Amino acid sequence: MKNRFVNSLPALTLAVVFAHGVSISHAASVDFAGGQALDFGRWAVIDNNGNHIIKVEPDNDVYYDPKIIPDVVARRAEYVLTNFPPNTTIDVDIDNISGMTLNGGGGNAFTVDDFTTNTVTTDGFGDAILYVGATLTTSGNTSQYADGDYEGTYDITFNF
Amino acid sequence: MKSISKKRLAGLGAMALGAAMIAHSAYAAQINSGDTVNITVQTTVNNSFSVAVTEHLDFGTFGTIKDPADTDTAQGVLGTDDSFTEDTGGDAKVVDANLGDHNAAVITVAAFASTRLFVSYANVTDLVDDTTGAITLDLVELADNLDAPGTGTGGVAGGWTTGGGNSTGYASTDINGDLVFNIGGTFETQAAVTYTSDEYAGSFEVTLSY
Repeated sequence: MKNRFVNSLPALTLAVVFAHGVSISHAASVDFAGGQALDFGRWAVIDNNGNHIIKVEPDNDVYYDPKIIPDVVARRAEYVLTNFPPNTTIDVDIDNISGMTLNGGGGNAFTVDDFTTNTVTTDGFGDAILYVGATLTTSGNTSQYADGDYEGTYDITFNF
Repeated sequence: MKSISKKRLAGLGAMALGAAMIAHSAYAAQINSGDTVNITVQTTVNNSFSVAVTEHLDFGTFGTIKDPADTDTAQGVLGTDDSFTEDTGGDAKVVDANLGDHNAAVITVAAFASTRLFVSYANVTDLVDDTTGAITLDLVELADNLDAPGTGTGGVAGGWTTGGGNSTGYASTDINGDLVFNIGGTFETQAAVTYTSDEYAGSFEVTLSY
């Protein structure tokens, strides 16, 4: 019994020291490259005579206006947060939202607003997942949307 | 011996943790409280779909017999299944030449998977002879093998009729986004016209929409 206790002590010490070193050398991080961008999918719109919407909720529920025909389903943004303070609710602010425009420029744009997120609370290791939803709205100006990829941007600010 | 074994395991565990953290950080943005990160939001619009006329509507070869009294007319009916129905019951007649050269139009569509499309017709013209352009066979009906509005039962034709306009048919693409449908039709002779041997042609527009 005595031998067993003495020999196991150095192993515990080593593990604690190493883990402590990791927490100091790494700041909180968000995995954007490995995450999932907010994507309203691929779809057709029957007309643009009114404001037609696609709404994506943080729980991944998706609503389509009846005038919108989905092909590839819209999905929320998902990002992994690591090394944040443990057991802490992270304040996530979204602003500087741009409209979505056709890659290469020109044409009709979409409005994106009503951004919502889940409540982000880190676990005991400082990890959490951030989900972001939003609403896309067509211009309603009767002009047809050109086929192609549309992009916009928004800012996320983390306070913790 | 047992305690030494434990020590080695603990060391290996720490090394594995370190490697995992480094790999993860290579793909992550470092964040301090109050930092702002710019994120992309995206979508793709795909309003267009592909439509091909694989076969044109062709009533094939037939003969006509005029009513001596210039009152009776006769019809030829081309089904969506390529069948041809002649009309030999009255004083005017349409007689199949039995060359087997009748075929309904075949329209091939590639669009979103499992998506309903509506089909309507417009600018339907009668068939006129190729030589003079003055001898006319009336195109009185177009019939397709799509579902008609309100039925949803299949096999009930949508289509177009003279004076009656459109009965907009619909169908859904399959899981691969494919849809094929056929269009047949009915022509009618004019009572006082003697038809010359010739090719007769007309046209119509097919509109597909979501």
